[in-house]
Amino acid sequence: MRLAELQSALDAALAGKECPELHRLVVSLKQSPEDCLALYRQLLRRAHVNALQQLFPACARLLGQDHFQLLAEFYSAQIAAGAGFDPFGAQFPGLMESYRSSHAELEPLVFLADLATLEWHLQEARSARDDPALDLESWASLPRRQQHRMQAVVSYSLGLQYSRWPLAEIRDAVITDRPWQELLAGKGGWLCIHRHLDRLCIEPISETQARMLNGIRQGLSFDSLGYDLNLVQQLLPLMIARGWICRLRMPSDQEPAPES
Amino acid sequence: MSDYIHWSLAGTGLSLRGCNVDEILSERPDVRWFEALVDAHIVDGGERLHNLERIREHYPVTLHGLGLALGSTSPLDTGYLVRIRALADRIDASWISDHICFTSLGNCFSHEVLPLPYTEEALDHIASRIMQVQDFLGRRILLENPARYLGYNHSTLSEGEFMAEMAERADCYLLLDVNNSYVTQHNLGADALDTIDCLPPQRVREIHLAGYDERDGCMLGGHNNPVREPVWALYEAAQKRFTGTPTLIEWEHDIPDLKDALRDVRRAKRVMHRAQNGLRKPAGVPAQGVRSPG
Repeated sequence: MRLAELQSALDAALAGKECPELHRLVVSLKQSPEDCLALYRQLLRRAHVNALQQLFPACARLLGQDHFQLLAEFYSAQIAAGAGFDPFGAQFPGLMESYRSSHAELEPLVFLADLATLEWHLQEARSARDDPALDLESWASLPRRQQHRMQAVVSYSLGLQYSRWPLAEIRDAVITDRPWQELLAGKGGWLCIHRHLDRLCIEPISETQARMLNGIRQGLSFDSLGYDLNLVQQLLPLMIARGWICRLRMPSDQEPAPES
Repeated sequence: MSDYIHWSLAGTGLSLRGCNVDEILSERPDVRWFEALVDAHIVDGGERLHNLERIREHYPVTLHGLGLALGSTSPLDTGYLVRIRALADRIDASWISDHICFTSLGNCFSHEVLPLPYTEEALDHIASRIMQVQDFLGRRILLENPARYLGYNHSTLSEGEFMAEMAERADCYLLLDVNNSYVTQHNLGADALDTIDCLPPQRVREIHLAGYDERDGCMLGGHNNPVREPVWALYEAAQKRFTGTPTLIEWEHDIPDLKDALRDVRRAKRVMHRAQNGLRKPAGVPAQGVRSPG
């Protein structure tokens, strides 16, 4: 068997397909070819389960070992079957919701998909590019009449999420083994997830702040955000202080206008 | 190509995985260098990367990867190579190592190194890919023998023969994982001492030591235990042949406290010193003495 065929056959075997030709090639002192391949399959699945457990620790705790294992193995099998899951874990929240809705005993975990999305935002924030140092001098030196044309740039690590559940509190309770059920009576809202000085932050924000940050993320200049410029200038210092905004720039005239 | 190997690393190192960086920096353990997992650090920022940079301020750092998939027949992932090069430059890595294997399904977190058949075809293939990677990175890399839980009956070369020939053809270096050799010997019957004897000493630039695990009669690479006695015995033999070769204690799972991990570091150092002092001359293999820098 040629090298490329062997590798395809091994990939197929790891995805659970029968490969008699491969079985004829595989040797071991300790195990049958079937057992050798099953071992690699188990190790691969275990690696996927462990990785998902690290990415979604609160969800893993809520679901419990059996459910999480099943779900993670299903995800792993989909990868093995060639599903283009890249980056690893990004599609897991969606899968989690469909899994939950098909298991009656998981009915109380109505917030599960939202919680998984929050954990994914945290993962993205954890490994996001470092923000450049903020240059306020160029902002300050700009004539006031020009400032409305400025664009802000949000932190590379920033994620925004709306949930009707108080997700941050629920996550905190789950991670620290405290009861979370009563928290469901609380209010949800917008969350800003980001990394500031290497620390992961989940901060509740107002709808105005969320919309403004979303517009800024889309590349809109201050005068295109749809808010009074005074309000923008009022909120801006907080956004900068929190590290939600990492840069201010003047769009060049040659640049195409961003789509709103 | 630059022969960029820091022989100042002669001594024993420790894998950084799971280590508490603050503890390392406050205690400054007697470890010659730390090895960082490439795949955990090819990010553009964040705490993990910054911690690695903090470590690098006080210790040399080597990079160890699982994702180059040098034996794979799928195209080389140039994006991954770019990121490895950037990371190596950023932390001034002493060297970069990866495995003699292919990985399944792209680099999709499989991190399970799959064994190549030891055939001429595989040899040609991997040697050519190593050369491409070395050209891109501008430095020689180290290739490690994986722990194997299956073999192929159409292999025509032993592990040692394959590694030696690969190193010559690709002009790369070798990383001998003594634990993996022992595991492969147990599972497949490939004599680990034969592997050691086959490897050209001038190519072996690092040794890995770790603990194995057992499951249903099969031995697994594990990296979840202290180094076991049979592996120490094999390491003695390896140090006699590759005297003074930098040695790393590797952990992956169930990582102990730094204090406990350092026990194996100290023991490896003692074995290395014994070999260097020629206190135990190997039967039939002349001791080489301490390697000189460069």
